[in-house]
Amino acid sequence: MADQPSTSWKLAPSRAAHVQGLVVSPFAHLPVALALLLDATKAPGGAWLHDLLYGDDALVITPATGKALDDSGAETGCAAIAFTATGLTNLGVPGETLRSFATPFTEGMHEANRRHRLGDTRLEPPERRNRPLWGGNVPPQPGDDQDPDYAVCENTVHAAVLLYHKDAAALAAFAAPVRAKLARFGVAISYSLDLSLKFDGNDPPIAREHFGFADGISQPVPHDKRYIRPGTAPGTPSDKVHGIAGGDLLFGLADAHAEVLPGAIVDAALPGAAVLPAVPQNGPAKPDPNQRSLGLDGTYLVMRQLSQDPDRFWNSMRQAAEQLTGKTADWVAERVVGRSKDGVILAKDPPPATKDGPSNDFLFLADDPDARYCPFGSHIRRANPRDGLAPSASDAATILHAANNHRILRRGRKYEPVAVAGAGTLPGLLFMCLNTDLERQFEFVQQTWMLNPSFAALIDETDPLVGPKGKFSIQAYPLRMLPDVDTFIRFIGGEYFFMPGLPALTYLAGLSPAATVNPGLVTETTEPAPGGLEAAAAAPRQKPPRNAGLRKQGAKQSAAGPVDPPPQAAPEPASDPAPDLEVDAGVVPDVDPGAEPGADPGPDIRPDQTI
Amino acid sequence: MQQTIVSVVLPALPDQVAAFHDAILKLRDKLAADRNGALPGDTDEFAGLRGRLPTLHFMSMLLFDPDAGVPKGDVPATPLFVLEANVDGAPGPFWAALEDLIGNDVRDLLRYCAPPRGRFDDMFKAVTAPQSRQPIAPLLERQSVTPAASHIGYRGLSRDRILCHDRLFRAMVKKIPPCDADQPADQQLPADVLAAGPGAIHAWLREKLLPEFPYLDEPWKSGISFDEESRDRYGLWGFIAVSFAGALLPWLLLAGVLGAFTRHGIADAAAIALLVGAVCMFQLQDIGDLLTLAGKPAAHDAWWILAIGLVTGALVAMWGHAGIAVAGLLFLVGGPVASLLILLALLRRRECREAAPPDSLPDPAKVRELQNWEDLHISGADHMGSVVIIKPGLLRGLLIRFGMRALHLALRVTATDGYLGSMRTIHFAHWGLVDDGRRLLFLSNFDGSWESYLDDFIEKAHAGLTLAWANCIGFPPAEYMTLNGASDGRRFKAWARCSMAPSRMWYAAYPNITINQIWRQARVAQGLCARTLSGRKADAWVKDL
Ligand code: HEM
Repeated sequence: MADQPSTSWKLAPSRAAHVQGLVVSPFAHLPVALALLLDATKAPGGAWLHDLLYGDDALVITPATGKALDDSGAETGCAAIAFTATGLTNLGVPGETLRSFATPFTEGMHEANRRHRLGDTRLEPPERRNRPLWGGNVPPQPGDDQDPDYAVCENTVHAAVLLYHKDAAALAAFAAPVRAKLARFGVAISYSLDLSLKFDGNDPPIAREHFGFADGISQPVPHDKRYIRPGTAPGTPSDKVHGIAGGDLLFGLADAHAEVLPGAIVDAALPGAAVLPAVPQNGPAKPDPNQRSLGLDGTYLVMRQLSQDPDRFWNSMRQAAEQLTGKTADWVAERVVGRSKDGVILAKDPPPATKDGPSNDFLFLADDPDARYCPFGSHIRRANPRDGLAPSASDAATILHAANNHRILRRGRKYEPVAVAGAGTLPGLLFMCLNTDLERQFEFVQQTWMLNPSFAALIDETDPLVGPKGKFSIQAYPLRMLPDVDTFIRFIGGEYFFMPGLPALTYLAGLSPAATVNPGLVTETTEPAPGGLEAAAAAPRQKPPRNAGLRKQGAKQSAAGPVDPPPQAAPEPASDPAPDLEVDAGVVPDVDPGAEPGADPGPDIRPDQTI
Repeated sequence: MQQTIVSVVLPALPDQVAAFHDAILKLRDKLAADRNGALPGDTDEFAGLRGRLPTLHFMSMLLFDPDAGVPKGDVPATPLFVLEANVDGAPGPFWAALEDLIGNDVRDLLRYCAPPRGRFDDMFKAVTAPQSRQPIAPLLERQSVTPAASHIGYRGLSRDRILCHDRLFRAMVKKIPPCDADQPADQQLPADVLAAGPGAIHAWLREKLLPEFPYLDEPWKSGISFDEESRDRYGLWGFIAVSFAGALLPWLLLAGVLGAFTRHGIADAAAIALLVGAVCMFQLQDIGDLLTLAGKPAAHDAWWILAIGLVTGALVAMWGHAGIAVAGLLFLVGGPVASLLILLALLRRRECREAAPPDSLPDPAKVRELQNWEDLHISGADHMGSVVIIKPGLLRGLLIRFGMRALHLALRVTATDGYLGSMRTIHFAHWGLVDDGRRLLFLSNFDGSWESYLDDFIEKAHAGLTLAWANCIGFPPAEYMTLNGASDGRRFKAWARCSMAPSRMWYAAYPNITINQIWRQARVAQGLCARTLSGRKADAWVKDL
């Protein structure tokens, strides 16, 4: 739309050919999907990956250049792949290279301090304390915090394969050769989730999360002088409200601190390194010619399986409504999210919808400074406060700019009820997001905004949608309301993944198993016994026991130390994906067949509008 | 009421570092567990300390390893022990109170320290001698470093008032429905009062809270007294005047010397100053960036126009002998301007000559240990301590002192509402010159996670930080001490990590209250102290409940 330059953007063709399609598109035209989490412990080295991606009947990882078509011109499924730190070690990535990745990635999501920071110790189902369903299982490192917070995941995950297709049958057929190939190499599918957008019958159709709210509306819009073009007329300024540096999304572009980072590097002399691109120039100094970039055109993928309890949610909303005379459960729930069920921002005059759905083109400071419409503590105002934290109008631009240094590109999808031992049978969200600086982007959002009990000078409350049980202020005249809200979301499992560019995939697939286990990051092949863990954690440095009592707020009450794994591993879902697809969404992407070569970079997978 | 920030800094015995770390931890555990004299209802760690040291806001005891802030491969520095205290009132009574409470424990820590160089050597030896009973307070007081620059998030708000406002706030919240089951009916805000609006809500709450909080009847005292405010303002103006005089002095001397030979010493000196200034300006072409930073895109043109102006001024002063008034004016303006430009040119030349420092690479295990002591409180305050080495040389030594002083005085005058620009995350922070002026100490008690704290600075206040740290080794390259530097986020964070010591012994009197909350609760208390509130005042007040 002419007056809506914002939400579509395109990678220049030179870049797009090397980037995985999931970066530029949520594949919303393919409403059903499957997440396969792989454990390649029994197949060290890159051989399985090579066969999967380059052997006969290979799985094509969708590039960011356009919609995948098979030889006959019919639409095929789309696919993406990403690896955990232990997964990279298992492939044979040298320790030196591994250490050039970001620390949160190499430490993994379940490092004790990180669990504390991300609130996971508060968000796990009590029965599964310190026992996430899945994760990379990075062993404890020297200097790690002591045991009580140390988590061992039930299922080890080395890689994630995401498959997308138009319906359940097509997806099953798409996934069958993948499963067969993995089985041939002994790569176990340690966990899998059927994902679906399940658009409703609205016009335009809405993909709702399990509490019934439109999801996937607000996304950052990356810009880059050289490699990203706004999707509309050339020269359109980058989005005022949602503009972020392209490098915050993809390694190899300038990031929010004006740096062009390589993501990770490989010694150029090592075997196979020649397929990797050179390290991009960062600042005036020439890059080291003896290094190659493994990270270029890649990014980090955050995955968190969050179960949702819709009954508990609506019960709690009803109870809250009773506490506030004259309000309905829907009314409270909309304040909890910050948008109406159909996704319209709670505002005095909500901006008009666009052809893609509810408008996202609003700021808080001018239109809702006292949060009388969209509460300070609502999910969307916490997840992205925009300019709303500015103390005065003169700071609004600075604050908006600063807030946009912490944006994440969400790629999550919901899943239907699954049973998790010790946590019941619940549907949920496989939260996924892309970013290049895990600490500055994803972790910041989670810790400093969403779960921060003092966000925006609120007192003792966290995100009412995804946080633990507590109070929730709804600003109003003459007086704010302060109902109680329950916990409806549990953290089931998750990990940080590296989602490589396509050349880097070739490199990874060519690796042979590491001859020696590198010291920086050891892959445990068997479930470590509790005693062994403690010993490992305590061995390298003498550290007197310390502030355990304080630090373990909320985590300590339950059993200290890892518990034995339940006898049964993750249930492998039936390969038949959910048959109950409601409506064919009808959001077929605008294919751009007649694009003039050179004039239009044209990745013609659906741009970033939905999900 | 004044607040004081002090830190006692002593060199530690290099071969005792490991044992010293353990001793600090032991003391920490002891103090954390001690509940003697705790305030009623206080179940947090350090309850005893909180009850018995009523003037103390934050305190830390840090031991900096020999490699803290030292670039990789360089000679290790002396390990440093730092005892930081942020207190209400003067430091003397605080040290005495500390001595009463944990004097001998601190004495034990001091035994891991080397005698300080200089005057207090004997006193130190007497205090740390075996079985010594010498009081330690005088030593602590004399060994304390006055901050070179500091910032307080809520000046003049005593610790007791902060805790009191918190209690008041919580008592008030309890009276607003939905109420807890145990709240008596007459203590629940009735619906008709609510419907009557802010003024009525205020009156009802005040009436119900007054019995429990009689101080609501006392007049509200603002934190910073008029005297203190004036003193700060005079301090800043005085500093500006002295700087001006200092910048003029060389030209005055030159005028004197020239005056001995010619009739127009002042005019000639002005001409020379202006010409030198113009030359410097040609040298400093890229200073346009500095001005663009201040939001002046037309800076470049302005720069050249100014340079031409200086030359013209010089010509007028020299040839025009345009009358003593004009020459004098040119002298008064041109002299200090020329001094400033010379200083900038020298600084810039130095900056350009210095090779960019190699990236700091913090040791992952050390970072993990730092992190083990961070985010201890899910909400509220956190602590960081850092020591870095100041670049050698007269120019750097001069600039760092000048920069710190300017920063300090400017903050005293402008940052009285806790905001540094658009952010308000610092409770108490200070910089101090330590180790005979060779190293720069930074201690901060801030809100949120370390990452978010640094991001805030990187995004919103990088010029100020660069001014403070640009003269230190390993800091990302800066221009004119204000540009780049701290905005180079990744390098800056890595550098900061390398300079830190884990905050193992850190005490906060109100660890779960953030600065924004302190201000919010203070506004609520202030409103309640007013006998009646109506109109806009009541509307504004009611938003904070
Ligand atoms: C089961 C858990 C969650 C549910 C049901 C949920 C639901 C929603 C909904 C309904 C919206 C509004 C629609 C939209 O703008 O897309 C939204 C927005 C958003 N959520 Fe969540 N969310 C969940 C967890 C998370 C988590 C864990 C994060 C990140 C740490 C997150 C980050 C965001 C962000 C960044 C936005 C966009 C805000 C904006 O830019 O206006 N969400 N979420």
